[in-house]
Amino acid sequence: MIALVLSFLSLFPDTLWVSGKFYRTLTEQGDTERVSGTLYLQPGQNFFLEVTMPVHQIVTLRAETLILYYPERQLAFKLRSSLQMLPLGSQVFALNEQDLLKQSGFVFLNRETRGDTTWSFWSHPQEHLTLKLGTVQNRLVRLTLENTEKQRVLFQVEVKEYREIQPGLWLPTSIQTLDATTATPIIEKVAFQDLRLTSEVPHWVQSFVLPPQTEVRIRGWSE
Amino acid sequence: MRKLGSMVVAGVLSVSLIATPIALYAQSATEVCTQAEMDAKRDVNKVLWMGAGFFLGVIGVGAAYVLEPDPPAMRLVGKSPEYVATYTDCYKSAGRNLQVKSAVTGCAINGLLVVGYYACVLGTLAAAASP
Repeated sequence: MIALVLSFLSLFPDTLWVSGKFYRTLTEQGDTERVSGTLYLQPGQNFFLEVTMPVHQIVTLRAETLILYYPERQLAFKLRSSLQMLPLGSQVFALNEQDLLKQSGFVFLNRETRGDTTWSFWSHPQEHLTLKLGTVQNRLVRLTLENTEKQRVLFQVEVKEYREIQPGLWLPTSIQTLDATTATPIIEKVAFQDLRLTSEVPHWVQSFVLPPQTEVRIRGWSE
Repeated sequence: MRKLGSMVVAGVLSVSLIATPIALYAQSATEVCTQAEMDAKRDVNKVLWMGAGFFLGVIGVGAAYVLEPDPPAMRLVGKSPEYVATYTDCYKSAGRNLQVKSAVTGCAINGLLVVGYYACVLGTLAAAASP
């Protein structure tokens, strides 16, 4: 997955980043957890989250290694991560979704247009799953994964409020996800503010390295 | 441009935590560990590891022990170092146990089938040899 994302490296100017504030809430059984911070993204190359609330944490990916760095504690975790590094929705977006779905065992059923939304329907006979993708002008607006045996929704993603941050480049500013695979459904909402293309990011983002005095805890296969 | 747009959206979306059952209020080590174990139970592909045990035998079991599962990265965003340490340890431990258990089950099924097969063959030969 990561390798495939990296394969698109040449498509994006080296100097440009997408940055913006993010606010995430997770709700389960009426309780809500909030995380917020700043996103720095250089598509296919670099990915940073600077979490400012509830803890100060820097999250970044280096190839297949996830780094969680706590500057004040001079402590970092390195996790050799598996293919689950990116969540399902991102994987659908990062690749040609049709290829990805076919590789995953989904079979294309049909496509239809209702109003301004084009719906494509996919089925995974072995897993008894159906997937419905709704797009408006080639931009995903809804993804629904259902278990046909139990006739219930497993995942639902709504992507809303796209903004054009440069001609032809649209980004969503609101993503809501329902995860109903757990005992109690989890609802996640992510909102983005001030998303923009820029070449000016903090110096530590441009050349991120862990300070030499940092205690590094390895959590991975090589442990 | 569409592909580029998709890539950027992918990066932006990766902040999203689809299918990431973070323990919302699991603050004590025990609670965090319980949550991690539940997540591992959900994430580990038991059929895959049973297949590995069935087809690869001891090698499959060994692989199940060595290849520890890793929790999805985004489950740990916004969590304290203590949470990350406890969660990852418990997740990997529980995940590995599940993998090994499934692989051993697959290996045992294979063993039983082999023993059953040879028992049938020997029984048939013995019956054929008897007057």
